[in-house]
Amino acid sequence: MKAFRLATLSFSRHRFSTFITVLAIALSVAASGILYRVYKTSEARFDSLATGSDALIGAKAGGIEMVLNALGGEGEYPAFFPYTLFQTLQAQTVLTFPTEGRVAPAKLKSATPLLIFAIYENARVIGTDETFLQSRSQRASYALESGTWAKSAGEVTLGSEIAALKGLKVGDTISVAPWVGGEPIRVEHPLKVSGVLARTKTQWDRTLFSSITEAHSVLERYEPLFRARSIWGAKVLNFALINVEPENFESLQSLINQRSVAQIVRVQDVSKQLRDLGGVGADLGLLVTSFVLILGALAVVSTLATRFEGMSAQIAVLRAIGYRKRELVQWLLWEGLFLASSGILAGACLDGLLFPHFLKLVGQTIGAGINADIGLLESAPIWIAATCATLLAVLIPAVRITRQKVHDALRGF
Amino acid sequence: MTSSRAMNISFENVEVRVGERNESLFSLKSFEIPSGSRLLIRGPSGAGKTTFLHLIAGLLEPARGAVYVDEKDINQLSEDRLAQYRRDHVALVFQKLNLLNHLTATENVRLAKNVSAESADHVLSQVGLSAKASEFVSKLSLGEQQRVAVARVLASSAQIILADEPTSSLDDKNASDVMKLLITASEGKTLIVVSHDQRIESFFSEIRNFKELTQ
Repeated sequence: MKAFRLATLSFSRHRFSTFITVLAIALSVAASGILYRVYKTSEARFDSLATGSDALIGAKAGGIEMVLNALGGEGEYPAFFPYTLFQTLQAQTVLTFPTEGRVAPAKLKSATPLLIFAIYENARVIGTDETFLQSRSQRASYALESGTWAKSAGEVTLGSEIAALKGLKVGDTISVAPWVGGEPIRVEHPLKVSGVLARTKTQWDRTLFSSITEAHSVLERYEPLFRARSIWGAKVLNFALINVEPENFESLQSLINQRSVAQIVRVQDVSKQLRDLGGVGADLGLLVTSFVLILGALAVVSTLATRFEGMSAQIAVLRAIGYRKRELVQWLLWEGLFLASSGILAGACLDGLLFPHFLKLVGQTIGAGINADIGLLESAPIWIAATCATLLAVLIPAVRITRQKVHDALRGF
Repeated sequence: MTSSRAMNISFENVEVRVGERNESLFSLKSFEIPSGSRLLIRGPSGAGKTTFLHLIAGLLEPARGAVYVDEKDINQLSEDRLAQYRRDHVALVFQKLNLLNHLTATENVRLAKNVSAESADHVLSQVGLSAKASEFVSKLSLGEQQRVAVARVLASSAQIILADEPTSSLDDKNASDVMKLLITASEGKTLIVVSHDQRIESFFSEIRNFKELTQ
């Protein structure tokens, strides 16, 4: 009888032992898979930040808060800073201060305005201009998948995920809810889809873009609602994406931070800070995942070792009637593979079923507004580790087979 | 080793040592068991009868001397060749634990080399177990389990049949039935049984005390 057949018969006939072993593997794989995908979800939070620009200008606030809000779409409606400041920077105009005199702003490579003015299906609608497409410092420009950039009033360019999710295309009309802080206003503000942004793999895929003129006109209409927060009326911005030569950043920073109501941060520095902060948690998460997997592997090793130890007499008989050591080792390996496959399949199903519920529980702690969809296949490293652990567990009895003294084993029974 | 004729077995200055202190268990006189012999070896428990059978099956290497089967020293064979020797030329029947409990009677018979399902069912009918061919052996009585072990011997092409206390756990009727089947199975082959069961002595033409074989 071939080793494969011996393995299938042993696997299918030792029902209780097989069930326990498969269950141990399944629970270990499911728990590790869920924890690992939570870890990947928290990582994805940082991966989806739209960190292509050199610097970010916003109202005075913590750098991390600014970056998460502007580039991650997280947090409350942000504060304003005057549009005139942006225009001055953009025009490279010399600034005049009563006490300091005239100061020439640092030369900028580009400046892109951002003003949030509405919400569409939990996605932000941002007023900007065409410089947005060139707002990535070191990489190629953003491109349009279809249509044109929203330049005229009443137009909107969709992020790729929004278009795909809602099945929208150029020419369609959508209704957005004006948003100037607090709750969105329950009014339907129509916008016509002029284009769809090609996939950026960032938060921009889940954002809608209209013209800065459109944004300002909406804010004007609802100015009384935010008057307390803006002494500049509706001519404001939330953020500006800035690209500047590294050697010019310090002078720009000094100008903005010390002599205006706004603040500028270097995006790369804040992103690193975020990753470092999150990294500690991520490292812990990875440690716990590894721990769970090791515990599960040890349980499997123990179960398999006991299972195969109990077969040592039968193995001695098979060797006595002429089975080679390698045939018996092949039997154990096949059986280990069957156990691993069944356990991993069951574990993957459990992982798939339970992960969404688990994510709902922990979603708030690992990052508000998480849209990252970490699919089941992301758990593949866990499955590979579980397969290796199971096959390693089989090696222990396999080695014992090769060392078994058949004469002593048969006499012992 | 050829497979078309019975094989003679001979021992030359064999000594077996066991245990951590490598103490001598027994030393055999040089002697030969001719092919086609039907030999019963008697002796008390612990004398080394099982070890003697294991020497012939190549399951144990002597500390000194050689065991020749068909004029070849079997302990000079490689691990794989030794397994092949057991598979092709030797059939073993133990007192207990002959069979894998999670397999049926047919599947246990098919553990022997190249036995088809039809051949297995045929030999099971020869030992009177055709109705129980699909039963798990754990559900069979001890006597029925021994008959399955004999069926496996019948299904194999072994020229040397070694049986270690095959009837000690059986009642009189079952002991007699199993012995009759073993005798049938060993026609034209070498049958060596070690046992202290006096009930089976009448089945043998040659009976030796184990002590006679040792120095």
